[in-house]
Amino acid sequence: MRDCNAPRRDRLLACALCAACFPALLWSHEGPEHEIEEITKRLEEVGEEASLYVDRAVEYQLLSKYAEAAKDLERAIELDPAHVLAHRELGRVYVRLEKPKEKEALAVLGKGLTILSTPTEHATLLIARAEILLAKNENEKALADVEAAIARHSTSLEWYLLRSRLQARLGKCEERIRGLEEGIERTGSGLLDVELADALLDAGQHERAMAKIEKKLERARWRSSWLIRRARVHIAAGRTSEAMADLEEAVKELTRRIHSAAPAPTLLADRGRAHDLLGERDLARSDYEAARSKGVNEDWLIERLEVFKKEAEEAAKR
Amino acid sequence: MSKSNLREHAMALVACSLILFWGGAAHAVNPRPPFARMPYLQFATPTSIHVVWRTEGPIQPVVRWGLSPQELDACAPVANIVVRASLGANGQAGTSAWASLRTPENLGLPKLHSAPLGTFQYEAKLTGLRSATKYHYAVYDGERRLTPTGEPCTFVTPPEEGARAPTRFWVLGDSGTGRQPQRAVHLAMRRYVERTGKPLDFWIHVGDMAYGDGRDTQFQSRFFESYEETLSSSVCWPTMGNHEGHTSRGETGIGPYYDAYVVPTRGEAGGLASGTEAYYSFDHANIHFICLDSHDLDRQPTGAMAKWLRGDLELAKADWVIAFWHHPPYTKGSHDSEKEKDLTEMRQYIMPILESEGVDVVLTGHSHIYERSMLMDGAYGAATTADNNILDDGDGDPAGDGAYQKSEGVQPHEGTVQVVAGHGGASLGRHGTLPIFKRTIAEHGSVIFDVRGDTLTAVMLNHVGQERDLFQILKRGQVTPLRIALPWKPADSKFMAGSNPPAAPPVDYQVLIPRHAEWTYLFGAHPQGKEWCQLEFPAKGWSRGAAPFGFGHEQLRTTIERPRNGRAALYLRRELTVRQADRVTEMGLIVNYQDGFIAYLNGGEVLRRGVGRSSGRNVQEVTSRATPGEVYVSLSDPHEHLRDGLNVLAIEVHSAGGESLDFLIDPVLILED
Repeated sequence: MRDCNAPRRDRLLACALCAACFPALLWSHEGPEHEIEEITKRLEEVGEEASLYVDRAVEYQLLSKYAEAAKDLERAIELDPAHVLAHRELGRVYVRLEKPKEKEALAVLGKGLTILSTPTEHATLLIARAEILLAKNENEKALADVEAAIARHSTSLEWYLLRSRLQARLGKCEERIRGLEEGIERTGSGLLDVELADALLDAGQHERAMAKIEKKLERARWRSSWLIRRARVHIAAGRTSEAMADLEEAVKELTRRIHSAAPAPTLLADRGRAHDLLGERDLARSDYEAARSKGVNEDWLIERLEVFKKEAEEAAKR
Repeated sequence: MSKSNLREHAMALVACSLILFWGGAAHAVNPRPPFARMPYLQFATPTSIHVVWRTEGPIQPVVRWGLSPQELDACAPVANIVVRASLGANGQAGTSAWASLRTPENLGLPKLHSAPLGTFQYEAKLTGLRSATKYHYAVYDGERRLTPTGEPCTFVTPPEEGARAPTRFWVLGDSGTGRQPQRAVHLAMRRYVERTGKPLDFWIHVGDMAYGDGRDTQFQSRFFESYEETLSSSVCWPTMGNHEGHTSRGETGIGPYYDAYVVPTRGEAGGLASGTEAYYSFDHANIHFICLDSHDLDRQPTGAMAKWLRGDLELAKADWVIAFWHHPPYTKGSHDSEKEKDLTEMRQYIMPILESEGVDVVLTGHSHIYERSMLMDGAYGAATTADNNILDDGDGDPAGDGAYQKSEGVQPHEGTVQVVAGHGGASLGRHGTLPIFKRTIAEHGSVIFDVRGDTLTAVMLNHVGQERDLFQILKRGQVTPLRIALPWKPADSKFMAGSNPPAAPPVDYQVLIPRHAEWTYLFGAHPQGKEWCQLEFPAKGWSRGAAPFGFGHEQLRTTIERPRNGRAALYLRRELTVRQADRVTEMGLIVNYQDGFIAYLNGGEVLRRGVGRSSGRNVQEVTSRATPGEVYVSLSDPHEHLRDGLNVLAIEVHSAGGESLDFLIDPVLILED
């Protein structure tokens, strides 16, 4: 393959060294702290390089040291203003700071978007900006960014989910359904199919939703999430007793799966919803609050908690 | 040291020697032209399998298969072969040789992310197969057979989904170094398989298969060539490690990692369609396997991956559920799961979902050690505690405390065994231990799993083939799990600092600048600026001499005069020719020196040892190396400076002055083969 000045292998030398050096240390890993030390040493040795600052920022993020990460990324951009990854990471890091810098994050991502980059790189910058806009409730702007990102790179299923969430917020039911169908076609994702069932329910297309739900119930080993969806259809159609039966079965199954001391947050959210639909409001609120405290940030759950909060405040006033 | 220890060490030494010999022999079979990557198996179902290979330049791809080597009577239709190509961009350096391939038709092919220019990858899907059946296969260019006739290229299709067929799979991680321990671990597995008479059905790599950055060339030399024999006869199911993550991204599915593997995204092998290659699931017999991306995707409970996981587990009807990814939720090896966010999040967000749905075993790597838990459930806290989270504090060994017991089928919260298998080849490390671990073994090795109906057995095999741990899980009848308030606790201990010897060179390499080579050199003056490191520098007035250079040492070939002020500086240059520079994975110096030096490749700094700051006449902080000795040091990012054809390696050597009276440089430049 290669024309070398001295192509003969020096196997004896290799043997001697290998025997002495077994096992190798070359790929040593001592965690992010060690990596940070190594990169710092390298920065001292070879001088400042944007890519080294970006690498160190990645390690700082693993230790949740966002202030240090931001500093490194800022320096990387100073050294190389066309570093696309540095812009994207800095945008993401700014909003994770103890005092989030949303304005600065949007500015750095906006600047990143002016850099000549591949369509996929451009799309990831748009998504980073959309995530910040979503957190700020600037849903129209966020949606525009996600649409533009999908147009540039159409196979990331997370982006279809993000678009679906924004469309749900904006009440764009039909667009949401169509968008999910497009995502399913492009990616084949089963998760987008689950999201589509929810989109159909939210849009009041109960018949189409029911067809999907029954199919899933046939296949599923754990049925609770689909029983809850079916109960929603029953409730909408006024079939209360069927809905109650599904919800009670769902609560029973979920309680069996939920670890009493260390529950899985999304199971708690589901059980909360089943209790909610059953009219067991205290149990629902308790599950919702526990799920929220463990990182569940679904819009419907946050809305329900808001409703409970307002009701409690009004009750207190009375 | 006891007699038995002595015997073990002697055996290990003999084994190492054999491995070195075997390693050399094995690498006579680098990809044979026109192959750029030998055929390997991917993504199997009871009725289909993928054969993937690469060639330099295009071929007319044909795969034939049959029930005997003489009767390869089936052929994959062209429509079942996906072709990808690396054709570069217009005007890109090196494209001229491949310009004729840049036809509209070829440019319309899916792109290989970073393979050498002119590489074509073929992914042939073989369909209409019978389950649990052995087939022979061969790859052709039209009518011309490319895989040699005498070589066994075979595969066995998986049994029908749900069948209680005996299954054997191999698990390893953090192995892609191209170093001796990787070879030893592989060889130990192959010998174990041969000795026990049951071939692998498939294997799982839990990430870090191509150090240091998962570049295409690193995949080739440190994964595909290292495991060639095993890859051609059994499917490797992968998950991305952080090193592959340097060049591949889960969010977009782009990079050398995603080029290398074909995995199910539409639920073709069972489970819920993931829609991405970053995470997926598949069924083999009565086992459901789940692969997650712990490196660069959202791990939050409402992130896409966690939601998909829940949806997938809700469907799984197998007798066993096994999940794998790279970053361990529990470890105190070379990484610490109580400090590092990606590890902590896998524990806090992903483990509750898995245990709620009844996972049996979790396989991970990243931490360069073997760690194995007791039967545990519910330990998701910021600090990992064992109290009330252990369901069986025995060793799980039927010959010891007895196998772990679970109910028939897949039931929530009946216990998981965590296996950290990051000991496949990279250097080992240990911070301490966690109270949930039953075994912590800082030796290179891998794990072999056997599942027979209701019994799962796992054996940790070290690099010399010793069985260092064994645990078993039995699933029979109904078991009521009992939480142990105060379970057995491992003694805390740390891997001795500094017990790792220095780095080794790659196992196979070519010598680019040999020992005693002649160099152009300058002594007694400093060159101006940095032009002297460049290829074009004329080096007028410089002398010529053979290495080693120095003073105060024996066996020098070029002795230079000891300077009066005690501070010596020597500048060396030597040209070298390299072809196909874009395929270089690693270059390094086997070097003895005193006191410090800086090396440059075509003007770019690639190595610095013992010199603190600056260079040339301004050099500062040279550290005295009182006891010189030969070491191996790899060059930093040589591919950024290396070019096809003529190159130059330049070295400046400095003495510390003061007490340091001797001076030496004896370099050998090597290239990973």
